[in-house]
Amino acid sequence: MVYNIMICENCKIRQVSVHITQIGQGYKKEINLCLFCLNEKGLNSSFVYLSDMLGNVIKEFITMDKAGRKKSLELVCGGCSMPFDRFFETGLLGCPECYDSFEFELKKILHRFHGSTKHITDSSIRMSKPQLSEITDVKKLQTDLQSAVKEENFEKAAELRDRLKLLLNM
Amino acid sequence: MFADKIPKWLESEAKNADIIISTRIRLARNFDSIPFPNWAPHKSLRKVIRLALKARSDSTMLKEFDYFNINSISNINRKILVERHLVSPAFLNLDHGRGVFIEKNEESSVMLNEEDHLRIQTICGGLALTTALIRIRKLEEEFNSIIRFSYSKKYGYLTSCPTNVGTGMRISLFCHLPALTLTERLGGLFNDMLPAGMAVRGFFGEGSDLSGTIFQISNQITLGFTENEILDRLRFIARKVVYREKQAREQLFKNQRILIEDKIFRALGIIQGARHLPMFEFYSLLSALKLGKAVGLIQKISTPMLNKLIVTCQPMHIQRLHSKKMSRQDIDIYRARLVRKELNLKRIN
Ligand SMILES: [Zn+2]
Ligand SMILES: [Zn+2]
Repeated sequence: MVYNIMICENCKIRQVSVHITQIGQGYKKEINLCLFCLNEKGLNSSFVYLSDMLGNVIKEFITMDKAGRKKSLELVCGGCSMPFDRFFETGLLGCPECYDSFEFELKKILHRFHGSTKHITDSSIRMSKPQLSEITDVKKLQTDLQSAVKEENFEKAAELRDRLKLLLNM
Repeated sequence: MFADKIPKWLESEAKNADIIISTRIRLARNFDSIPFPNWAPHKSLRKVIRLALKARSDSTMLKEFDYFNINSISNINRKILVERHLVSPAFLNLDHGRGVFIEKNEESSVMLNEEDHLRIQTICGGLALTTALIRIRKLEEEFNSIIRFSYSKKYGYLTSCPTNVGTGMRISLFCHLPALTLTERLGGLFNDMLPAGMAVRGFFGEGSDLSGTIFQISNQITLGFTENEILDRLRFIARKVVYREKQAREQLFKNQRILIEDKIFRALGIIQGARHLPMFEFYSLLSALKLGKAVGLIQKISTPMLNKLIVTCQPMHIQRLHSKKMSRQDIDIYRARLVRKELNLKRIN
């Protein structure tokens, strides 16, 4: 048996007793704390936050499109005067109108995070049932996804999952 | 004031409440043409509170809710609100213009000016998706009849953070999965949830440790699925979780009965002897007792009695029973006594 002695990332003094693992949008993140710090942080706050996941999506987005980003960062919302670059700091928008003002860029983020850019309500009826070929596709994608996760190939897993989501969304 | 009694949802004796502890639904809603709280000037924040209070005075349902200005209640009571899941930890860091409605039985609460103007939430004991959805829809309607929500055909309910846009709905199931943890089969279960757009949060203790057996499973995606679809997905997952946990329990008992009995009765022994009980150790023991109860090895203790301790043994709940400021060690000492008292157990020696 191998003993790996790790130091708590909060106090940087005591030995780690708890590993909190978050499985998120195509990545796995670990937080390692000692019992003392865990007690300190409490059960609630130790649950990893969703905003972390958004942070990742935003980061990806920034590195994705450097040239285009520069221009969009200068955008300002006509409704609330919030500059778009503030969104990259807080992950939060300023007002409902921001969805129009920054639509071009937000659409990409929405797609990345939700796998969709369109709201659907229970009254709007779904399109016809999926074709047989799509069903087998789903099966194959699911097994591929599982093995990608097993191999910890999270980039591939994220891509496969996006395709799955698209298929399931049809 | 809150915290004098036990929240109603903790008294649930629902079927499988030992596996699915609670169901929570949260809606994010914003009022039309008012900036989101993070970017709103003080006067807009006050306007939100004014509008919400007006909605309350016009509604019979909302009369059952008490209003608290979060900035003017004591520090300890603020933390108690967090320990009872009535407000988020982040809510306490916001400095002004924040308030909360809390239903007298603590089933529902509404945060005003957290990340969104309204964060409406309701908690039910056990697996109760439909009940929770009906309840939260009614609550939403009480506000909607007075104030128009900001909504777009394309993107649905507009929220401050784009991760909540669309339905603005997040459903969370709090699950207690000791057998799946012990048999190290959580990984497979969680990997199945990824394609379904679900997030799992919680503690992953090591090996034979039972401290990390409570998990929160919730939908991550709010756009492109209807409310009922999200509900159905959660229901499907809940069934799967319950089935697999039961299966794992059966297997454990077939193959390692002595080891499991050892864990459960040792936990009982430690609780009876403990003079000092840190939070994390306590969760581990509690988990063992819950398992013991579920499989019929423990009779005199009920599941609601055990679930109740999840809330009442938290640090601020213990502190509030005492006028003097307690150290962490004092709290741990008192916790050991409290657990015995609540479970009607005699102290050894
Ligand atoms: Zn530490
Ligand atoms: Zn705006």
